[in-house]
Amino acid sequence: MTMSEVQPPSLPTNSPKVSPTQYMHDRVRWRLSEALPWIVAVGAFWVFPNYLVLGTQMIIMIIFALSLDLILGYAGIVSLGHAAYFGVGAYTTGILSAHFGWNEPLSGLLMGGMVAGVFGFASGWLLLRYHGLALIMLTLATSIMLYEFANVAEVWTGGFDGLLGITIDPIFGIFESDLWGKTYYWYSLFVLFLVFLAVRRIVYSAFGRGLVGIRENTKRMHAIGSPVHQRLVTIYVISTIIAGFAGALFAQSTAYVTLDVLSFSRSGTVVIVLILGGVGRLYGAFIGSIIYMIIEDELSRISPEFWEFGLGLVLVLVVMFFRRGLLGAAEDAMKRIRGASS
Amino acid sequence: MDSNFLDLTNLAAGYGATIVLEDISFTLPKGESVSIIGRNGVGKSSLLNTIMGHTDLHSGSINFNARDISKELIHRRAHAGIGYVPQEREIFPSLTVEENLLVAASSGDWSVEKIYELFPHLAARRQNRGNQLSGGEQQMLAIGRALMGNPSLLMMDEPSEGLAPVIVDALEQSIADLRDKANLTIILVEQNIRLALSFSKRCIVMDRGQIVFDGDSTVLKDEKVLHAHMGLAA
Repeated sequence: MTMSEVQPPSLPTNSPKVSPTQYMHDRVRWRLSEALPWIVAVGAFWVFPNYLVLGTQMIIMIIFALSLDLILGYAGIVSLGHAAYFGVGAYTTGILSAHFGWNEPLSGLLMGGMVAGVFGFASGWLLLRYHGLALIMLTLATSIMLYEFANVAEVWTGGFDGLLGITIDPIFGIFESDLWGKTYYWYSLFVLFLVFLAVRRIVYSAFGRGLVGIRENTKRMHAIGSPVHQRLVTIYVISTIIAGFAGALFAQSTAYVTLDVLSFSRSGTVVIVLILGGVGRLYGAFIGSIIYMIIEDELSRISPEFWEFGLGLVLVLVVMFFRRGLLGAAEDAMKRIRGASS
Repeated sequence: MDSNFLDLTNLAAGYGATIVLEDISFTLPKGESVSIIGRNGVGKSSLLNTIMGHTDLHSGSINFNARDISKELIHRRAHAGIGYVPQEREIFPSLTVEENLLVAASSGDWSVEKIYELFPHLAARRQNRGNQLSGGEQQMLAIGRALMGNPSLLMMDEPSEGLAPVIVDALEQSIADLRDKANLTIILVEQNIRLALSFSKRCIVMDRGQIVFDGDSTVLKDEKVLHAHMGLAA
């Protein structure tokens, strides 16, 4: 008897008549359900016209969360200092505008991402030689050091008082910033869409699948010939560039940068966002960001002093009852419904 | 035939300060296969781990394809042409069968299609995740994944472990096909003595971290001789 004659047990199977290239292409193909968040985002512009500033901040948070999801959810790199790159992006764009009069938004955005990427490469090359608790502590220490550096370099950063004097030109020389946040809502949404396309492409590529392999069994990835450190550094740099874009968008949309962009609380917040939404599942960043910012907005209005207690309670409940995040819980529920109906 | 395709010289290796392998020396010509047998814990898996670079090498050298790889990083050894199928299979659980194969792909003769030809069973499972496979399917996938790296030396660590007899028979046939048709040099570590002795003409017996027999497999078909070399009571 040969392996080809051994009959498989009755597990659901799929047609083998597809080439590997076609197979990967099929995996990247968009599903109809993926249109939903974009329809919601576009519809929100008309349904919630008074909340566009908050909506812009949500979109920026989604971009930031996507950047962390790439390294945490797919490559298994735990970071408590990801705000470092958000902050580098924000300060780069802010300083270029406030000190050098570089007010063009798109190039300012690109510069924010690129400088964050350079910083990400320099730090990632060193940090990613460590794992587990050591890596967590090193990422945290990096962001703390950067925070203190920004505090000391107040000539450039404005220190504790924040960086003032940021002026951003109209986007494409046409769309000016407005009080209601309409322009920056669309601008941020457009950037999010481009970032999402790139992230989605990466996640479903052979490189992205290799990252999952690294997360699940680093030793085995070494043994099948994968240059693990090189791949981790690559995804780390991509992640930091995206975090830099988020920071740059933040600086452009608020025209103000404070030390808060580098704070531990920002690093912690983006981790909470992913835990809420679901780590390693792309749209978890969307769900988590929206839920987090709605909770923050509502609870801080109800109780400006104790709103974080409510947020903590929600987080405890999610971790206890929905370990795969809200999106994971929704997927499980859908599977149960489908199972029951079939 | 290159008589020193794989050349281990006076190897001493282990985990940290603990030495598991002592004074291991053997050569393996290109295209030849060898089975390694021995009781549990005598260092068979550690020997494969040492060739792959997973242990700490204390002394000795490993030459592969006329190149000293003793200090090479693990992934460079894989690139040099060493494929390793570990005892635990170590399939990536959340990747599909196809993705498990694709993440290991490198240029060469082996492709996903060829793996599916060798193991048609896997083609039917291509979109199932690693954690949805049976033990036999996982073993096929582990071998397929190692082949996707287009190795010239394939090391398999107890591929029959935990498999039903009917699956072991089929696996034995597939491994024999690889030996005969794929122009591979194969090191097979096995607890299944029958499978090991029938797989290759040459057999190595290990005991307490050392090679105690290196010769013709047929000699070991005499149970008394086998037991004597394996340190078992007759």
